[in-house]
Amino acid sequence: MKIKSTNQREQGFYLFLMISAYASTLSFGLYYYFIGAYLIAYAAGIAFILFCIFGLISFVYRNLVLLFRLSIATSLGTFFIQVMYTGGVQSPSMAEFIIIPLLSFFYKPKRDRYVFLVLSFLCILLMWPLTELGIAKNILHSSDRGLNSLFVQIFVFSIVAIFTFLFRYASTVKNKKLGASMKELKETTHKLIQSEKMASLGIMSAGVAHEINNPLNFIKGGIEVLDEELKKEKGLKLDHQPCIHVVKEGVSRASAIVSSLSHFSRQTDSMDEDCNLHEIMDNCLVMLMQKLKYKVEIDKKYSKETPFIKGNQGKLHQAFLNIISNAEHAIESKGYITLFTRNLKNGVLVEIRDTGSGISTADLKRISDPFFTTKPIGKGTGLGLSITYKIIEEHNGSISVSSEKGKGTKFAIEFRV
Amino acid sequence: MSNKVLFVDDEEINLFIMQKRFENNYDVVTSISPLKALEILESESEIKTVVTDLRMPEMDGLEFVEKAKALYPNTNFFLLTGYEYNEEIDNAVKSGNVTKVFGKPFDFDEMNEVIGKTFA
Repeated sequence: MKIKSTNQREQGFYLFLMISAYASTLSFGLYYYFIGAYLIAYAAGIAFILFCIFGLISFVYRNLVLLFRLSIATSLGTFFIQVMYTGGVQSPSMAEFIIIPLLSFFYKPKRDRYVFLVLSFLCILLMWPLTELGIAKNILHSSDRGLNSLFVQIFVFSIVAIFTFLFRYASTVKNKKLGASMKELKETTHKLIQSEKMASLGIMSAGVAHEINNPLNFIKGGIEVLDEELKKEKGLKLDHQPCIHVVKEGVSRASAIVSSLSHFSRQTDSMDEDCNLHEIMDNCLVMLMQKLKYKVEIDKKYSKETPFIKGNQGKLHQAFLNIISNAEHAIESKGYITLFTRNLKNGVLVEIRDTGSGISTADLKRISDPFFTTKPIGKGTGLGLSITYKIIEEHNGSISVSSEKGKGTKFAIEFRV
Repeated sequence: MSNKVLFVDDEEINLFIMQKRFENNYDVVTSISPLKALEILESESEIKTVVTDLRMPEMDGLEFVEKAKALYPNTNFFLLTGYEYNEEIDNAVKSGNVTKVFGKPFDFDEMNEVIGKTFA
C-alpha cells in the first residue's frame, strides 16, 4: 500500500466517519438482535468488525482514500441488507441511500462521488424488482415496525444534520484560507509597487542631479567671476564679501547634496573602485541631514588612517545609507548615532550604533529576510536590509547585529581586505 | 606658443562662464556644438587643449573626443559632466582619450591647474 499524506481535514473527517460507523452498527446490530431480526443483526455485526479492521489499518497505513472507499462501500452494503429485510422499497431505511453520496463528498477523488451517487441510485432502483420477486421482505414483527421506522429516521436525520454542518464548517475554513491568501497577494503587490518606486526614484534622482548641476555650475562660475572683478574695484561702498560667501556656501551645500544623490544612483557594476568608507558615510550623512538635524547627534569615531576597500562606491553608499537611515528611524525623539571605524590587521571594522528603540530577539533573526518589515504597510518595503546584506557580502564583508529592546542597536560590519 | 583652449558645451551660459573665468589666463575659444568644434579644430590646429561637456544633442562628449582624438592624437581632451559616471567614461580615461574628468560645478583652481599643465 502506498503511503499518502492527506490533509488534516480529511483525517478529522475520517475519524468522525468511523465513530458514527461504530456507534450506528453497534446500536442497530444490538437492536435488531433483541427484536429477533438476526439476519440484519449479523450484517451489522460483520460491518462493525470490518469497521474495526479499517480503523486498525488506518493506524498503520495512512492511505485514507482507500479506507474511505472501503468504509463507504461497507456502509452501502449494510444499508442494502437492512433495506432488503425491512420491507424493500417500502422500508423506512430507503432514506439511508441518500447518506452514501453525502459521505463520499467529503474526500478528494471527485470521481468517487459520482460512483457512489450512481451506486446508491442503482440500489434504490434494484430494490423494486427484488421486492416484487419476493426476495426483499420484511422480517420484523409488525409490533416492532413503528419503533424501527422511528430509529431509522432519527439515524438518517442525525447523519444528514451532522455532516451538513461539518461540510459548512469545512467550506468556512476554506474561505478563511482564501481570504488570507488574498491579503497576502495584496501585500505582495504593494511591496512590488514599492520596489518599483524605489527603482524609479534612483533613475529620477540621477536625472535631477544632472539638471541641477548645470545651473549650479552657472551660479558658481558667475559668482567667482563677479568676486574677482569686484576685488579689482577700489572704493566700493558695499562690503560684497559676505554676500559672495553665502552664495558660494549655498552652491557648495547644494552640490554636496546632489553629489550624494548621484553616488546613490551610480550606474556601474565595476567592483574595483577604491572606496573611501569615511567619505561614503559622510555622504550618507549629507543625504540624511534634513532628518538628522534636530533629532540625532552624530558622534564620529573615525580611525586616523582612512579605510579603503575595493568595490562599488554606489552600492556601498546604498548599504550604509540603509543602515544609518534605519538607525535614524529607530530613534523616536532624541538620540545618538555613533559611527566607528578601525583598521584591522587584514580588514576594516565599521560599527554603526544607535540609541534607538532596539530590535526584539524574534525580529533580529528575520531582519535580513526580503520583505520583512515592522513598519506599517506603505512605510517600508522590507527590502532595505536584505539589499544591504547582499551588498556587504559582495564586498567580502560580514554583518553582525546586536540589539537590546529600548537601549539601541549595533551593526558591526567587518570587511576582509 | 599659443595658449588657446577650446570649450565645447551646448549651454550658452556655460560657455559664457568659461569665457569669463579663463579669459585672463588663456586664449579662450568656445563652440556651442561638437560638429562646429571639429571644424574649429581643423582650422585652428594650434589648439592643443579641449574641454567638452558630456551631454550634447548632436553627439555626446565621448563620441566627440573619440573622433577628435583620432585626428589630433596630441591634443588633450577633458570631460565635464553633470553627474554621470559610467564604464564608458572609465574606459575613455583608461584608454587615454580623455585626460581627466571634471564634475559640475567644477572647481576653478583645480581645472586651471590641470589646464595649465598642458601648456607646460
